[in-house]
Amino acid sequence: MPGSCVSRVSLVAACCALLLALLPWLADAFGDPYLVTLFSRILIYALAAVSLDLIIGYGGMVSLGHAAFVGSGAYVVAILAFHLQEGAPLFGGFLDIQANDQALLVWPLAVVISALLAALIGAISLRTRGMQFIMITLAFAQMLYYLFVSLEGYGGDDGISLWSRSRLPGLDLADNVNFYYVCLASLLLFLWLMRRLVYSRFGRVVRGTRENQPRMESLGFPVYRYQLAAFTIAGAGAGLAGVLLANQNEFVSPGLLHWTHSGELIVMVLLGGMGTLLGPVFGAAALLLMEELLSAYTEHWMFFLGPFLILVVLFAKRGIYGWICGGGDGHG
Amino acid sequence: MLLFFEQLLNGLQLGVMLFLMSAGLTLVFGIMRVINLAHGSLYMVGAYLAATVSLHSGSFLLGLLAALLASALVGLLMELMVLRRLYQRDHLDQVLATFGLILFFNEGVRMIWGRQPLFMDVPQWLSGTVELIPGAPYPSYRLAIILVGVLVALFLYLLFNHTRLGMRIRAGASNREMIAALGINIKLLNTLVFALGALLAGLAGAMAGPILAVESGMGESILILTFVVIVIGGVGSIRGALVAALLVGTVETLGGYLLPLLLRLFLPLASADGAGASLASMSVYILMAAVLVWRPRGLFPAHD
Amino acid sequence: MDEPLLRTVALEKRFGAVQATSDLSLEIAAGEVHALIGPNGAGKTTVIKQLAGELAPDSGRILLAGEDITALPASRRAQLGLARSFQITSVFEQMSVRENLALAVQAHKGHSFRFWRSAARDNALTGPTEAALERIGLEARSELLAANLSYGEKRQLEVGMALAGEPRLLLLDEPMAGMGPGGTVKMTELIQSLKGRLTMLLIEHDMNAVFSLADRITVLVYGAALATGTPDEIRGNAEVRRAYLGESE
Ligand SMILES: Nc1ncnc2c1ncn2[C@@H]1O[C@H](COP(=O)(O)OP(=O)(O)O)[C@@H](O)[C@H]1O
Ligand SMILES: [Mg+2]
Repeated sequence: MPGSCVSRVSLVAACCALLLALLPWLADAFGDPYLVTLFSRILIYALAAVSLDLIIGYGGMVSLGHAAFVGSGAYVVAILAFHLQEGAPLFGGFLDIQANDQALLVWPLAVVISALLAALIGAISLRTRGMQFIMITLAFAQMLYYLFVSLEGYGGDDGISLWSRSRLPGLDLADNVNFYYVCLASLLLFLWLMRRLVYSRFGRVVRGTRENQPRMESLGFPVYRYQLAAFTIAGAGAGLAGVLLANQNEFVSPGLLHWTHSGELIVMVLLGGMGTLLGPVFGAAALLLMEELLSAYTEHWMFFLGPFLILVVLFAKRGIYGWICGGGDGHG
Repeated sequence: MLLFFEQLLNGLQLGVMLFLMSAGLTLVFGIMRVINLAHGSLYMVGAYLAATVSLHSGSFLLGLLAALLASALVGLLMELMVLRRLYQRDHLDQVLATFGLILFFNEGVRMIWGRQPLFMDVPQWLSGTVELIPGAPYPSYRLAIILVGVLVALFLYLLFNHTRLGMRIRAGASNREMIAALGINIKLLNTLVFALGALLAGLAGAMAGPILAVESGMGESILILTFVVIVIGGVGSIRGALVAALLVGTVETLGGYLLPLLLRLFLPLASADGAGASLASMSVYILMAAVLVWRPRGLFPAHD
Repeated sequence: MDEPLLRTVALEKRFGAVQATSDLSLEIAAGEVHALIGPNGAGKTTVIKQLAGELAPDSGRILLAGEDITALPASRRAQLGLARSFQITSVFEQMSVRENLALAVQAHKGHSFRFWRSAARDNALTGPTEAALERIGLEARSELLAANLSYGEKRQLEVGMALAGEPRLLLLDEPMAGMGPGGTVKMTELIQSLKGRLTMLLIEHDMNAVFSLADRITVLVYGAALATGTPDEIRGNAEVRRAYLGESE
């Protein structure tokens, strides 16, 4: 990667980070508190997109079911809150439901459950490659979608409304600005973790497998388990995004798991520049802001977004990251 | 028992629909190695055209004809304008571009026909019932769908086993280099295969019109089941598509009917029905997982 | 006689109508350079693929130091000390030369479920990686992406990666294919320098290289071993001359 690219991206990233850090003040100055909500959403989707980038961009595993793990994270939060709200015992009263809104308890649990789900789905899906892998991840995600639709006890199609956000000792998450900073911190933390991961031994194996799997095997790497581990980590990241999303909206429905959301996450990764970690953050911002702007003009904005995506694929393969990079090679 | 029989026929009918969808798509996957998410859009186009034309002309057959023509034409344009440029790209590009196509078609349909679903009538001459088993009347229209499916399967069998064109297509599905070696015009063959797939999808959509609500996004719910069929059957294999389509259709339909009954043996009524419904919604995917654990490349893989 | 390092017993592999491997029983003694020669399509690569675990034989057994490895996956065999280079260059084009070699070293030095420490600064890897770089003489190119190497350099990297894991048995599939005369000399020197320290199965069309490097040669025709012997024995074998050497020289 050419030096000018690194420095340019660092510059842009630093500017963005500064803007994001100051955003609540800016929103105040503009007198538009909605900006805080909008950017919380952007940060959350960016987190999900970065986690997808780990498996698509670095691992070469094109998963079209990533929304399932976002959804599972969100549903863990919502279902636990639901039991608290309804006073309905969980597992026959075996678990104390009074703690069901404690972030320090619920959030890690949701992340772990999403990771386990990803491990299970990954374990089966990774037996295949290429097109089959795409179709299978899509199918499993859709299976979970239908599963939640069929769970009448948890609102079925209509989903679950939360009475409040999770409780975090010392910080009132009901306050949008506080919550915004939690989202920002989560994203930065996750980006940092992924950055370390990608250049670790493990990350090197994952990257190598993307490029040349037979060679990896002949070198002595049992690639399946590394791919599965990466898939699981990505699922955990998506689960965290789901946790935040449930809290942000205070509402969770099967729509979260719908496959079009998985498609949108892929769009964010590619639009931003895959295999770059920062790219998907730009991609998430670009897509959501574009939605926001276009939908102000026409309710049929998807009619224009579709062909735009095709043009991106055909002519702007390296995404926003590559564009920032200028002439250099956009690959990290 | 009679209900079971009816459900079985319903499963068969869903299987036929899935076969029409997957036969073309599995060839597109097999020969061009391109993953086309927008196959469901062709199904939707077929349904909308059939509904609109038959409503205005009063003739179901005219609607069917319009649907076939329109979906083949749209498929042709799709291939020429977009997919052709994607054959050499990786699967990720294909996913993104055809995802873009879906957004385009779904929203386009909303712009033309609005957000309300259309409803299409069963043609007069098929609106009756037939008693295959005494005491169990079954709608003639659904039987007709099954019959059409059998005819199409027969047609494809003859095409692929007894015509030169068909054998070339099949050779291409199992070995792409072979086509080039045989000196066949690949571009033309690709377009033909794609149009054939589009035609079959349009046929499925038109026939689904009177059974389902014709609405934007209808293509995707069947598309995902179609993927399940292709994965189970093995990419590129028509025979696999047929077997898997019938399997998936039956499991999907019977699961919703049998699982609650089965669970009632162990659980109280309400929770049996709840759990049954949940399990039924997952049964097809569990079937897929089981097949994959056993045979990662599907039942009848066409490639080595 | 000692158990050979590698032994195949009645190996069979068919591709449809093609009998690619036919009742093949090879023995490769520890320390020898064993060449496998034969006309194009004789089934040499297919043998290597079965030894490396990329293809399952239809029947027959493969034993590494007496242990049956027929059912082991490729990665397991590599861990047991079986390394191979590919006839068609197979390096990681988007990684630097150094990272290519480091990856090969990493496969044998500790496990790879390390998520945090930078691999580039992992002391357990850097030493052997530098040694591997030196061995193939690509120190000056170490930061270049493998994609930007010349063809001959890629071939060297290819073999270097196979060597980096310090294997017990090296399977070389036409390491000199497509190289210019300079490259061929370099590669011959490299293999010569490994002789005695490493057991090798060498597939090569360059007969000068084969006859100067090999301790023993097996001639493969239509998937079956026509003859096995020292270079002199093979040179003097009338059947071999007729079937192969005569027509290709
Ligand atoms: N995957 C395969 N499928 C079908 N035939 C194959 C395959 N691999 C090799 N063959 C055939 O097996 C024979 C031996 O091939 P190969 O081992 O590559 O020969 P060599 O390396 O000696 O030139 C050839 O006839 C080749 O066409
Ligand atoms: Mg060969």
